[in-house]
Formats: sequence, structure tokens, C-alpha cells
Amino acid sequence: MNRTLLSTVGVAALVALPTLALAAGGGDSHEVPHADVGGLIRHGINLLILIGILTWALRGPLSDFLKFRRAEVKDQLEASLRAKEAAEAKFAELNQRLEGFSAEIDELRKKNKAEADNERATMLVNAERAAASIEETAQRTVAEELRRARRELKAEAVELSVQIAEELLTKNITDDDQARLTGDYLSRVEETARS
Amino acid sequence: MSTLAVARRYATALVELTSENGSLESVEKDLSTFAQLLTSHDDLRSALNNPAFKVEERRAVLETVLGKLGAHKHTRNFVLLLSERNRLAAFDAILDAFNTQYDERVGRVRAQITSAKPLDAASVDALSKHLSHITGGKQVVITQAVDSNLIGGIVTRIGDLVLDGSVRTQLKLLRDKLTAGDAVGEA
Repeated sequence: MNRTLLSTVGVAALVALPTLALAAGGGDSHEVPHADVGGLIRHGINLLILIGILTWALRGPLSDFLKFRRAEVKDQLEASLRAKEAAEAKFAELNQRLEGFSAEIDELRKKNKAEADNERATMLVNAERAAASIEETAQRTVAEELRRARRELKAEAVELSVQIAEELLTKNITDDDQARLTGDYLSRVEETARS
Repeated sequence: MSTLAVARRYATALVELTSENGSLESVEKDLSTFAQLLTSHDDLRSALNNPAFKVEERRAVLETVLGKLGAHKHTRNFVLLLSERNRLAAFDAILDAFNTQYDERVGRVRAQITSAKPLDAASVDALSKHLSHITGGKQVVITQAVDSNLIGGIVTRIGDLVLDGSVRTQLKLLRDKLTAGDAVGEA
């Protein structure tokens, strides 16, 4: 509060004092000015007084401003320094990674190739096994089908043979054959009766 | 209760009753004649088993038929009893059971002889004699039939015993043997 009051008084004095100094000079303002050394000195004194008053009145805020500005500049400098260091570190890291990148790519290529080779070998083995299994199954199936076909063919042949034999017997059997069959039958029944 | 069990029960009762009063043989002959009548007259069998006819009507028909056959009174009563109890449908099974028990009582067996051609009397006699030996000396009552499907030979059935000398069976055995031989060869 006092500081503000003092500043106000200072500024008022700064405005009033040159006027007072001019009035103290005699008030003959109607004369043509000549080389007035005294006037110059008074103006110089006024200027000095003005400068002194301004310096005195503004010394606090200016000091604060300068302190703040200094601290701000310092912080900015420190932040810039840190950013620079981080950027340099990042750059170094990237540079390092870049140097190892080609080696990493080579390693990756080797690994991928090994995996691909391994996968290929596995697929090949599996395919060979599957092929062998299919072949074996096919052979079994063919063999079974052959056996079945042979069995059916023979069964058909037997059936046909028996059918033909039956037809021939039915057609050609004579009373003598019947008599002989009856005789044989009686003989077998008689054997059964004796046994 | 199954038809067989019912038939056996009725047959046993009839055999015991007629054995006691000495009418077993007469009743057996009556039942055999009555069975032949039913076999040869399907309309009579149908009428006797038809529930559309009243019990009295069926009874009247039976009494007329049995009277004309001159059936023994026990035969008459037995058949009428079957009719009243709706058991005439099981008459064939009852007759089989009766014949079995009758044959056991009189010591005889029944043989069914089937041949491809009719057999002469000498062959039937010879067969009857051999069958009597096989059954331990029992009297053999032979029933003959002709079946041309046998092709040749004879088949005799006595109870559970079957003496099969037919050509048809020989051919079947031959076929089975050949087929089995194939199966063994393939294994």
C-alpha cells in the first residue's frame, strides 16, 4: 500500500517538477532563446531527477520482473538442455539399433528359413505317412474286394452248379433210381436200427 | 396260458377219464374221424369257430355231426365242452397231445414218411420194421406223403428224430460243403 502511494507521489512529482523548474527560471518566455546553458543544465537536472524517480519508483516490479524472467530463461535453458540430452540419447540408441538392425534382419531371416525348412520337412514326413496309409488302405480294400468278389463268384458258381444238378436229377431220375435210393435208405435205417 | 399247455391239459383229462372207463380206443378213433371231417370241410370248421353263431346253434350242429358219426358219449361230451368253452380252435393241438399220450399208453409211435414217389408196400413194411427196432420195439403207425420236391429218396420223422435220405437234402449238404470250403480257403 505504502509502496503504491510512494510510486504515485513519485510520478506526480515527475510531472510537476519540470514545470516548477521552468517557473524558477524567470518567466521571461517571450524572449528569443539564445545559447541558454543554464536551461540545458536545468533540463539535464530534470531528466536526471526523472530517471532517479523512475528508477526509485519502479525498482521493485522491475526487480521482480527481471528475477522472474531470469528464472524463466533458466528453466527454459535447463529444459532445452534436458531435451537436447534426451534427443542425443535417443539418437544414440537409434543409431545403435540401426547398426544392429541388419544383423537382426539376418538373424530373423535365418530363423524364418530354419522354421520354414523344419515345417517343410514335417509336412513332407506327414504327407509320406498319409500316402503310405492311403496306399495300404487301398491295397487292403482291393484285396478284400477281390476276396469278396471271388467268394461271391464261387458261391454263385456253386449255387448254379447245384441248381443245374437239381434240374438234371429232377428231369432224368428214373423209377430204377428211385428204387435204388429207397433200397439204400432202407439199408441205412436198418444199420441205424442195429447200431 | 399257451395253446400247447391248454391242449395238453384237456388231452390229459380225456385220456385219464377214458382210460378209467375203458373207452380210450373208441374215443381215439372218434376224434381221429372228427379231425378228418374238419380237415375235409373247412366250412364246418369255420362255422364251429364263428362267434356270430350262438352257442346253442353250434351245439346243435355238433350234436348232429357227432350223432351221424356214431361217436362215443365221452367223445360227444368232450367236443361239446370244447365248443362251449370256445376251445375248438385248439382242436388240432388237443388231438396231437391226446394222440401222443394215447400212443405212450398203448406203446406205439407215429412216423411220418415222405418220399418223392409213392412207396410200395414191401418197402413200407421193411421201414416200419426197422423203425420199430429203432424205437425199442414199439408199434409204428405210419403216415405216408409224397413230395416231388425231394427229387428222390425218403424222409422219415418220428417225434424229434428225422432220418433224411432225400436227394434235395444231399444237394443242400453238397452246396453247404462247397461254400464252407470256399470260406476256409479264403480265411
